Amino acid sequence: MDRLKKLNIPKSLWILGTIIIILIILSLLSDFLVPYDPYETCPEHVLQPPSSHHLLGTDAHGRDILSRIIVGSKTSIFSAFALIALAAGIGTTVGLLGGYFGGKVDTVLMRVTDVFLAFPDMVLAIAVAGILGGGLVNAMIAILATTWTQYARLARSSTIAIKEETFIQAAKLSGCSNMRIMLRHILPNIGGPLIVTATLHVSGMMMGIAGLSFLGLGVKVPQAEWGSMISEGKKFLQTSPWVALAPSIVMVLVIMVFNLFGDKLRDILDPKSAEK
Amino acid sequence: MGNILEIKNLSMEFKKTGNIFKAVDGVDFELRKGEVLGIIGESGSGKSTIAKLITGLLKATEGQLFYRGQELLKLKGGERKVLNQHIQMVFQNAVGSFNPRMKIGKSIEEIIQLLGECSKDCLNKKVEDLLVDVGLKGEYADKYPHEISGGECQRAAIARAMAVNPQILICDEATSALDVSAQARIVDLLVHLKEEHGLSMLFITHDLPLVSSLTDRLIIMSKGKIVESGNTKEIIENPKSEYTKKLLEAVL
Repeated sequence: MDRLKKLNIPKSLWILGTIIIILIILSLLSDFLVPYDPYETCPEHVLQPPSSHHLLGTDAHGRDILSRIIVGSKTSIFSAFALIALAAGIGTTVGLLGGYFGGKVDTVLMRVTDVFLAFPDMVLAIAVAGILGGGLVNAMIAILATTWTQYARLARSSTIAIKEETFIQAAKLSGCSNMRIMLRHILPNIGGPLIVTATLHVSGMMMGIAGLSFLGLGVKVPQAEWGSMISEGKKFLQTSPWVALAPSIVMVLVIMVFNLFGDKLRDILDPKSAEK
Repeated sequence: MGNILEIKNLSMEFKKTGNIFKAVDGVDFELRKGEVLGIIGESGSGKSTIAKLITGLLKATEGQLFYRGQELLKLKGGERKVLNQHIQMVFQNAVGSFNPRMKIGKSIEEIIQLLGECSKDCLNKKVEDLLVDVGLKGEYADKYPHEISGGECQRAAIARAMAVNPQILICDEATSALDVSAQARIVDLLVHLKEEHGLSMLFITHDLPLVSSLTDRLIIMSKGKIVESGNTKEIIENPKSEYTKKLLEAVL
């Protein structure tokens, strides 16, 4: 805690952090918070505008949109987190190994990374999702295939920059194994930029999953998810705009919160800007 | 006095975009037990490379290194690592030689755990003893390297090197990044440790006046080769090679 205090965390970061924690708790408890069953169709209340009964209106099947947005947050937020964790884990491992050992190991790992980088990410994601078929897990694999490369590149370049430092040589003389040097000495020192990238990436992942769902390659239809809700709603954009707009606006707001949080975090973790 | 370290025909080549650069070119010398040997030379003369070759941070292209008659360059990774118990090094960049995200004490603990013999219970005590030995307070174990001065950091680095009771201590420009008063105190500390532990020291520097008081013998290097070697006093009073003469003139 002492070190946290020394970092002089600005108020805005506390506020954004609190909002994010509230969002996470809300999505965890979503099943108990929803005013209506998000999957119950009701033919009498089809496409109703927002009212005191249905705060954000109902969709084409008479389902309460607010309830569906709340339940959908679980899919969006947690699949984004899971994706980031996997991508950062795989990417950092590859980058760390390549950067530290250099030579042939580096060449092989980086050429593999280059192959994945060569494709525009959404196009590759669509292709992968197309081959594997729809479903949330497949959509996640599709996005993962392109995302991990960024972490690999970042971890590699940071590792190369740091491995010539004197303290790494001192660690070698202290009898550290390569493994120990990578985990205890290099990883903690390259962690900052990786964490910042990861926080800034959360929004990207949410958009990626929503994007694939929008195209019908993500979650299966009845399941509540923001992307698929927007996709369903776009048919009624002129007659009942709330069906598409409500999840869109929520998505924009949530993504903005995560982006701002990542930005502020970068300001703190980047030693150059911390001096100000 | 017997030789603790013998170096024969040591060479190190670096390849840079097709060109071969010989940083160390067929160097022979020996370090006797209990003496302080100074290696002097301008930057780029290969003196730091020699330090890295002896400690195993770099792999020599050619030559032989004998530590108490044991051929060092033939040893494999693990055996080589164990030898770091006997040969330790202090770097020029004192603050940079500590992991910025680790407390000083943790860095010292690490070397004791990996190379030394010490149970978990006595670890804290040992770290404190080491810090006190180099003239620091025990509380310094809880500080991060950026929280203390360069001179204090260099003392902590010496404490870390001494943690495994090495036979040979290599000081690679250990004082050149410090201000003059801190330099003098570090040199005093090194002399003290040398006498107390019977260390043999390799003192690498470009600072001639500093070594004249500290070293028993000198090696003058230029462009990867030894241009002159011998007794410190003799070299300073009666230099033989042109290069040494110029070096001395520049100082005086």
